[in-house]
Amino acid sequence: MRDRLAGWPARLLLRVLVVVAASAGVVWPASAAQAHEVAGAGATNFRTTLSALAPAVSGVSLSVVENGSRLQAVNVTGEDLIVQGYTGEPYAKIGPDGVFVNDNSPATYLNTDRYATTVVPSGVDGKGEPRWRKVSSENVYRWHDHRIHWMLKTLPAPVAADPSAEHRVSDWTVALDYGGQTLTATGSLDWVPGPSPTLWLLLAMAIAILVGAGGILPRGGYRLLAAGTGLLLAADLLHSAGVAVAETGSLAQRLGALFGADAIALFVWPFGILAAWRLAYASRFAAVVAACVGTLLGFSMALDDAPVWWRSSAPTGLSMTVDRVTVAVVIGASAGLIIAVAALGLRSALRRAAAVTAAEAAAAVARSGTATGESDVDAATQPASEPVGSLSRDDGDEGGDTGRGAASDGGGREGDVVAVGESGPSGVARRSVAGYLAASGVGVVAGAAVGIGLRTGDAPVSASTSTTGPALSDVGAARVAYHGLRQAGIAVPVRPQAHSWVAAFDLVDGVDAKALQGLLRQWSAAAARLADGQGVGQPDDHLVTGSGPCALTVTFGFGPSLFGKAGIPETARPVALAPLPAFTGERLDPGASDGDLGVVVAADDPLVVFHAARVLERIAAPVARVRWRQTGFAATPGATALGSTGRNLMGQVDGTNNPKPADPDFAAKVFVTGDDQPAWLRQGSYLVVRRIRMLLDDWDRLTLDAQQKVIGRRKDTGAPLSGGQETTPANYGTTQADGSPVIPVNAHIRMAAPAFNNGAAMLRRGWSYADGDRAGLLFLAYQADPRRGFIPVQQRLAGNDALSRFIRHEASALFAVPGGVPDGGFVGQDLFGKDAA
Amino acid sequence: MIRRLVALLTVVSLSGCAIWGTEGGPSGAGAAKPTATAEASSVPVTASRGADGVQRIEITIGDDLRLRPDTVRATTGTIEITFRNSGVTPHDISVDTVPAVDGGNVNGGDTRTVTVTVTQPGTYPMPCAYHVTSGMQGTLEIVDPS
Repeated sequence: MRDRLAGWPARLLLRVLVVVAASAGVVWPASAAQAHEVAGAGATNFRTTLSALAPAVSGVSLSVVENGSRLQAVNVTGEDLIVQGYTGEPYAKIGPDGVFVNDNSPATYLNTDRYATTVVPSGVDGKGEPRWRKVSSENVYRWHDHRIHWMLKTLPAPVAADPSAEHRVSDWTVALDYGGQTLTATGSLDWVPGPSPTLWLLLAMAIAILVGAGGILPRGGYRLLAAGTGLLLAADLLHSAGVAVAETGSLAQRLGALFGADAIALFVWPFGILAAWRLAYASRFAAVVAACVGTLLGFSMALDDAPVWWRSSAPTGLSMTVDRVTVAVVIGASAGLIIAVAALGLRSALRRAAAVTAAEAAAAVARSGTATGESDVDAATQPASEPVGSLSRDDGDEGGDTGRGAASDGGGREGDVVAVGESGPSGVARRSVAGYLAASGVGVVAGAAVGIGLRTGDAPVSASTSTTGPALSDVGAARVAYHGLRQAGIAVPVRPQAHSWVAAFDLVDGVDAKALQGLLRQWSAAAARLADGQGVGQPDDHLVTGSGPCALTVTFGFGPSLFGKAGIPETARPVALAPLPAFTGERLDPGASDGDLGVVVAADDPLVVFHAARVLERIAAPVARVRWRQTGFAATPGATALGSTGRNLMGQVDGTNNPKPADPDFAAKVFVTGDDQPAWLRQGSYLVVRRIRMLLDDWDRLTLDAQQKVIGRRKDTGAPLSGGQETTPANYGTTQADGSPVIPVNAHIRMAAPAFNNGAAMLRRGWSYADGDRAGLLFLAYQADPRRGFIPVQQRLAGNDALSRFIRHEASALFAVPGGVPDGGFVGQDLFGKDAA
Repeated sequence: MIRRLVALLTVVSLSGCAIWGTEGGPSGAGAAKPTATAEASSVPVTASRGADGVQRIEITIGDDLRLRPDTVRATTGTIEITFRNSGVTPHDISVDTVPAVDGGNVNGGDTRTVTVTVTQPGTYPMPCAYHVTSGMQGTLEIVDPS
């Protein structure tokens, strides 16, 4: 019999394929575990954030890549950047000559493995001279830095106790040496729980049922299976391409990520494309091949990538939603193909049983009368309701694929029937579907491979260049993350930006808590977008088209007068947020002082600042109105040497004794940490704003010597009059020949020194201002508590220090600056407690 | 063939949770949680004083990123701490007295002894330079001999 003969090789091939698929399925999971990971990191709820690299250096950038698995440093300057190892030793050197690692640093050995399961050779302790070994000629280096990710294969105890809550696992710092100074990268490691997988599971089940129906439907079933196979391949490809895009390594590593471990996809995808094509011609054999392909891809996906459904991040260039959809499609379509093949098998078995019965009946008829041809027997087995075209399809059940069956048959009635089937309208449709599937499959694979091959590394967090158009300068590209433990613009970036806009808003009468929360939510969202260099979707975005974020920061604060409005009880006002006391000699303009809400916008470009200020004012309009605003400026980045202290309009270096982020008590001086403060203020600060006019005409009449005595420092170098250089601590005991102190008793630095103010200290972050003939200092100071910061110092200075004669405090404000804003949250949300809408 | 697929499905779904790794399935089902001993609160262990007046203690460090004991109590004077690495991952524990004493790298299976002299009573951290972000830190509590 023809169908039996044609059936043998097909069945043999089928069995071989099943055995291959089954054994691959058993053996494969071991390697599949690495199939869709990038540098050892898969989908995870751990999130590594780099909040700052300070001080910022043009041409040097650091970023977290591969979903927290590695750090990446880029250095395009002419000087070496040295990454410190775990005990402060030089570990890696990135510079004009390429990348070198120190074979005498334990980090060189530890950082080769995600979990540091290595051995450090004896004698390697990082203490001796570095032994540099060149590893690449590039200006970029990526390494597993174990300070930035979780190193245990068990969860942290607080996370294990409550995995569905957010946890701050740890804060980390990594130090880098550059040109004689230390750059400090700070960041955090958080546990961010993912969503519920139910939706995605339901989507996968729906797709499985839809595709599975292809094995039951008498009409269009194969076309459904062909479409299902095509969808499966497209989703798997899209998913793999997303993973490959997240891979920052070499071309080979990126292609490896695209094709999976052992390039298994290169083997599986062609089978899938072939099966989709033959399925369009209603080949049952192709359905079995498609099911085998689905088994491999679907199991791999379920084992390896299903966690993206319930974890918050994954190494992928796609959005998490798209990534989750691709996983649901692959798992769903695979399950559907398996169901369909099972249904086809069942149908075929039933039909064979029916055929046997019919053949016996036909034989009985033949014995009793006219002999008939073989084809007639076949035709007789068909139910009367089936269309003629489907005859060829059922032939394929046992005879392999229809096209081959028709060709071998050569002619006769059956051949005619097949020809009618292929040239008929449905045949044309099937063929074009198949053609599209095959062509698009091959095209997409090739396109993705080329695209990924050409793609360059991840855009760094701290400084990025746009992918199109000319590269931005490092000033333009500098980026400071809005979200984080603390608000940006206080300690980060270390050098205040060149331009600022400081303003206070008053709530419109009758605004309720909901409206205020809405404003804070919109402000936070806009600030996050602007800090990232994105527009807010309004026509005036074009004001900054072509500009980078220019290190834009937006810092929000709450004034004392906010409490008692918008449903916030007056009793919720922190004790330290009392209006500032009156100081001797001040002449305050009430209209330019105080306010319900304070906003500080700062960036290295005046257009960027103006645009951000406009956006924030526009958002506020229905809820709050500007009470006062003041712009300020400082030296342009690059105008002065890196790390030099700024000068004020009197020509004096200003800010030498500011607390430094590296100081052990920096946080305690600047940020609210104590339990005596409300929770919403933790990691926040208190901001004092003073518009201090300088009476420059009077000042200019003094000789240089007289001016230096007023301040207590030399004007040229900034060194204290007691000697040394700018950073030398002032010696207030040094006397002149006549016994009088070298730094006069009423000199500004003596009166303001923490040593004479019970250790009171604050982080000054001011700008100069000049409006017409008014010019001076827009003084901003951040402190943990104004009662141990600005207030005692100013009480001592006002009217007493020699500088008082040449300045006049004309405006004043105090704001409580809430802690940082988590991704998806808004500034000050904890103030609203459980009522936060 | 169908039977083979069903068998394969069963095997795979049974081993599923383990395959999804440390963080486990939805809502942390099947996640790798720290063992009870790892979570147990630390009980300070007092270093024993030898005939030479030196206080000695052995601390086991392992792949669970814990120091056992993780709190060592001693009096002012000279303390000799032996770090025994019972795992395969290297560690580098320092004793953050002033100035800090760096223990140096200890590979899996190795031991290393560090001698510190402390004159000021107080609590001194003993972090692992490689793993402190993941919480690997012990404490040295120094009290007055009286």
